[in-house]
Amino acid sequence: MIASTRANLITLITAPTVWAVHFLVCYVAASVECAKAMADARVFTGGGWPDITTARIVIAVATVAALAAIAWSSRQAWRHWGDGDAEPPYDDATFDDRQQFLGFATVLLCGLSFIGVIFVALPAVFIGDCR
Amino acid sequence: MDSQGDKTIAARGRHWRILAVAAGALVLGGCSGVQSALDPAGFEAREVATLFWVMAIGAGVVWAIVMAIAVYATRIRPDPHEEKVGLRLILWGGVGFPTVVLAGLLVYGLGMMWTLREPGEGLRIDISGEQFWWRVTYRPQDGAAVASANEVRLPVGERVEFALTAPDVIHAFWIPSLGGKVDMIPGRENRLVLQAEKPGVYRGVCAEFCGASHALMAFDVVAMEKDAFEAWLKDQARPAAQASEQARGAELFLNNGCGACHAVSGTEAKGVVGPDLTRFGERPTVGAGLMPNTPDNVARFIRETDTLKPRAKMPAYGALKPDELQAIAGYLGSLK
Amino acid sequence: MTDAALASPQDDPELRKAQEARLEKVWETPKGFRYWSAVNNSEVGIWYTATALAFFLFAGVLGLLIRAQLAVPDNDFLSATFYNQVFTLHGTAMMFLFAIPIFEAVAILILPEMLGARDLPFPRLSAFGYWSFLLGGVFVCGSIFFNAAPDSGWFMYPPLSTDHKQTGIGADVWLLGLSFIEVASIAAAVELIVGTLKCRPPGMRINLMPLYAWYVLVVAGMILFAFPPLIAGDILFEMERMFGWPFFDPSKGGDPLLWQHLFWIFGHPEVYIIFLPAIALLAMIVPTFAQRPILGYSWIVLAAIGTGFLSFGLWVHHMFTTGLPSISLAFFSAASEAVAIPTGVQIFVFLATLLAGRVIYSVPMLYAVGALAIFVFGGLTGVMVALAPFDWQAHDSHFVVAHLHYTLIGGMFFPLIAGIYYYYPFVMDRRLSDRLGKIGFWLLFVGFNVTFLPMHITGLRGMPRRVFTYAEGLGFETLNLVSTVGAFVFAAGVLVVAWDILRPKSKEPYAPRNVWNAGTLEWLSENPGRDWGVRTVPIISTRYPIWQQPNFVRDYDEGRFYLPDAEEGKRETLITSVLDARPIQCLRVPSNTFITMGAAFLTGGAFIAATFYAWTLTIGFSIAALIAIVIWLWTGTAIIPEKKEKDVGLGLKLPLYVSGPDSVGWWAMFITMIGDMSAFASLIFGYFFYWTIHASAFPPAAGVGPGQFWPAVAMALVLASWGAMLLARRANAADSPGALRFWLAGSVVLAIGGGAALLWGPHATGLDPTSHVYPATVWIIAIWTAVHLGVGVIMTLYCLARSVGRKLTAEHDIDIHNVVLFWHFALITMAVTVAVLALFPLAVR
Repeated sequence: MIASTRANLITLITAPTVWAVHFLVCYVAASVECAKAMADARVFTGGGWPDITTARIVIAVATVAALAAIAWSSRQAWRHWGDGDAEPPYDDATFDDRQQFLGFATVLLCGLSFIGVIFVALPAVFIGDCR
Repeated sequence: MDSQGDKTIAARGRHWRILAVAAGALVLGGCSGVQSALDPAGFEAREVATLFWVMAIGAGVVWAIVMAIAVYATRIRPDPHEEKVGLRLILWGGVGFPTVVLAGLLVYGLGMMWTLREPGEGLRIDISGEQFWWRVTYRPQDGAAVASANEVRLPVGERVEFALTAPDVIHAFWIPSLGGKVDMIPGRENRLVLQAEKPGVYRGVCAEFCGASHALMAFDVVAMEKDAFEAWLKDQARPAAQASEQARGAELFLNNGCGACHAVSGTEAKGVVGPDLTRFGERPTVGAGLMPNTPDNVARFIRETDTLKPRAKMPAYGALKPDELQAIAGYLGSLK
Repeated sequence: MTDAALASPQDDPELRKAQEARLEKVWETPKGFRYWSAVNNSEVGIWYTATALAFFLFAGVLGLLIRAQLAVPDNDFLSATFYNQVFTLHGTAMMFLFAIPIFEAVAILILPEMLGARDLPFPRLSAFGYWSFLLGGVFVCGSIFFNAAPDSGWFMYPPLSTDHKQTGIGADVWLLGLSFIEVASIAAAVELIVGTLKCRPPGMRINLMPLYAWYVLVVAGMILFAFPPLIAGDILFEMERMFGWPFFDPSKGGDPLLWQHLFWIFGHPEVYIIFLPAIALLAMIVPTFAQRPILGYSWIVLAAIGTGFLSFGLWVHHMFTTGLPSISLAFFSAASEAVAIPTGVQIFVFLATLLAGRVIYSVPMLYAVGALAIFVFGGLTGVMVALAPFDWQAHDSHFVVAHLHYTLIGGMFFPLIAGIYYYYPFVMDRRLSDRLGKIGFWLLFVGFNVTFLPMHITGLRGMPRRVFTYAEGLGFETLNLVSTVGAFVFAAGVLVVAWDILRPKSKEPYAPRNVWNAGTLEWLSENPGRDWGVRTVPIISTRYPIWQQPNFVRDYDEGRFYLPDAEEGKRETLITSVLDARPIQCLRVPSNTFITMGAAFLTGGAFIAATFYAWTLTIGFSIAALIAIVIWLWTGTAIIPEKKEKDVGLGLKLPLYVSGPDSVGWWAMFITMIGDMSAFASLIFGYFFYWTIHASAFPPAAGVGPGQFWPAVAMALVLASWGAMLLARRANAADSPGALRFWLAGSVVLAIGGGAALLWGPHATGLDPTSHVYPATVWIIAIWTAVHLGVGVIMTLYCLARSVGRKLTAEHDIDIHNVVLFWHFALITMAVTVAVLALFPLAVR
């Protein structure tokens, strides 16, 4: 995440990168907790499954952080976009249009990443153990 | 171009109708069967089948709308529409609608993942996928383990837990009528819980490619009423019946070394490499779901193992005389 | 702006004629056997496309064999073992030899002219990639004629495929043949990224880039992160097969699932690597036939980038039945649902553009709408299988066979055919037949649906995949017979299209210029085409210059933009800045040569020899390949121009030689190393994967392992070596060749010492890589890093030689900048290696 008054390819992919990091954190937290709870115990134990409380906390924190980061990126992109005033299609050969295009595309990617982060966080709401 | 275009439209219309009729016929006529996920006989399979039909109908509607827009925009009214219409289409068709529907589906699916993996209620059956057959061990909560092969019996109405392993390569355990599949992976033990709802005979298969005879690795599934199942399981502790008229077959069986790989309880045959044959006569099929269990088929299987089941570990006993094969087949058929 | 150039020298027709003659001569396609020495994008692109299509036909025949075998129950048309080779090779060839290469092929063919460039920045690299692809592909496909094809599925799951008794040489053919091709694919990705970022015409800011170029950028970026994990997996796999290192052997602590992770980390993005470039073709076709700019340009960029990212969060949906905890599966289920959003956006952008435009219906549009019908259906079944509970039933059944063919044939094959009908006049100067195109379409469309629609039901009725036969009486008979009939109808459609492409057309008239009245730069090309690619590198101020810039075509034809001439008889193109496409360099691109073909064949020879475990030959080929590559680099890169600057036209003077971050070579090195780091990250992932599945055996108790002393020594030496490289660069900048050579030599000595110390650690502590997965993992990571140090040493020695040969000087310093960049990454690799191997065990014990 690089604060920038100018939109560029890095600001463009900030939000999806945040999504990717959040995804990895969720997956690693849950998988490691379950794998460690069941490692070398690959004989049938019957009964219940180990729970994943720690992973759920990690996921909750990561989700809040990721959503905040995406919101921050979208606020910056909103400014690049001309505070939402600029009309598409941003196809002039000018700095402004380039800036507005990148800003708008970034806002869109922020929206998608926001939805993506929420989707990826949902499993931790509905699944509470390693079954 | 225009007259040709009209013809293509007409052809397209006809084509869609034919497709629709054909698809309808296939769907309606094609669901039943001993191995069909669309003819559920268990709780898991029924839940998934319902999910499938709901999603299939929804998908059909979405598909029809998208195609209707495409045909409208390209053929029916190819003239320009306002850009605003297009941008709204992107926003609501491309983002709004899918986000809501997908979120709903996801939540529904997550709930199902939770319920379908509830633990079992006591009976546990160990299944080991081998090239190319199934080792089955019943482990009732009270009572000794019972060895079997290529046939799984389970009581109706109970959540039965399967412990799935494999010693050689990856297999997958799948009884479409009862529920989804789970892989059997060397070095791991996976669990699957299934609950049969209708008594009957079903068919399971290996669903993960496991070598030359992957296609020939099936098994029979018998869902029984609970009482009948318990009685049957108790009866398994008894050694195999030894009918005196099958003495020659029993002797040939042992003399040809079959006992080195196969076990028949109460006899000298104690091999563990191949399927346990103690109750072979009760099983509906021979060769892991390959053929109906008739004396002729058993004899043929022993004689032509290598061609009937490429790369199976059992050698073909082509040198045995027909009457010897018949005697062995008769003996095996009598094991009940 | 060009109208203002009133008294331009280009007003003189005689001058223009002379310019054209010079350009013609410089870019002339070689004749006779020298034709095969061509490296220009138009020749290489055509070979690449043709070869990929040939592999498609081959793999298609294998598909027909599959359908013939499954036509009736208990069929004995093919034996079980041969059938297994057939379906393995069908999947392998379709994916690795057709679907991925055709993207690279088409991009190499059309991207430069779409960007108003005369060629991509590294034409010889493209040629190298092509010859590697050809050799590797023929090797892999040829194996089936010797009954030696891979036979354990295109996914090659161990332990079946690591078992020498069950899988013969076929598994090695798969691993080594395809690794070779993967390396070539990564090379193409580097080329295309640099091409898109740095070879755009002046004025083509990032918001004016053709959508195709956006997709190329995204897809090539995905290749950088998707292919290296598979290469890492291939390395582990071959170490197990050849030397018994038990990475996937559970009896020695390994786990077959690691391969599945690495394979699908590649395998799922790969689906989108195939799909996006084909959609990119539609993104060019749809505006042309709607006769208006795309509506929702930014939305397409969103969709391409969004899909690119999300596609990396899907891989475990191929592993939903492996028994992993529900919570792990659920993340991937969620991402698999989410990825449908950008995919949907893409489709609705096309629909919106069609709505807002005046649609001309044509053969490419016919295929585009057919693609839509099929792909949307496949996407919807994709949403279904993304739900894990449904997938537990559908997985590995014919339902999935149907689903994947709907997505790939609808998402890739139909758009590709649309693209072929659209771009054929651009590439081959003549049009394809509308009539044959339509006949072909209906055969393909009907045949496809008849084949694959019933398969959904076949699968849910319980028929698994990859079965060479099925029993009677289970209800599979009619469905399978219908599918087989459909497959042959589809094949008839392929034949019609193939005939249309191949039939002789020399008697037909040339297609008119810009036959579809398109708006993008590639349609400036004339029929018959000229070897120079573009007459002059234009100045761009709109997204569709032919439609939107006045007098554009005339100015272009009269050479009124940049580089209208080739005064020095050199091949040249413009390099511009990343975001705003400001001109920064006139790049001399290398010309025809056989050395790249030689280098590719020698490299291939090393891989093929390794397949047969012929180690002497492998080493011999490797050394020969290294020599060939050094000759190629020495003679063909960082060439010192005869003057500093050149007038590229319109009064603009540009340097001919730039180094560091301004140069394309530096970018190529940077991008390559990103790919390299993702392979390394995959190995590190392997280490931690083993850590999670073992309670205490990984890493083992204190006393077992490489220890801390030797890794620390290695780290110190490599740090010093890296420091010496920085000093060498500074010495060079200060124009002090003596100091430069001193520090280079010092760096070499220190790096060799560092590598030796790194390997000495596990050796001195007696780690036997065949005994358990822990020593094997330690060794493989140490070897990986040591090999990188070795490569760094070779590069440093190369700089030393360049300095001695007066080709590396204070003014001409491309080599040292690029090599220092490599060393930065080598240092990171080293630091991570030491942290993981030496420090992590201390932390967890």
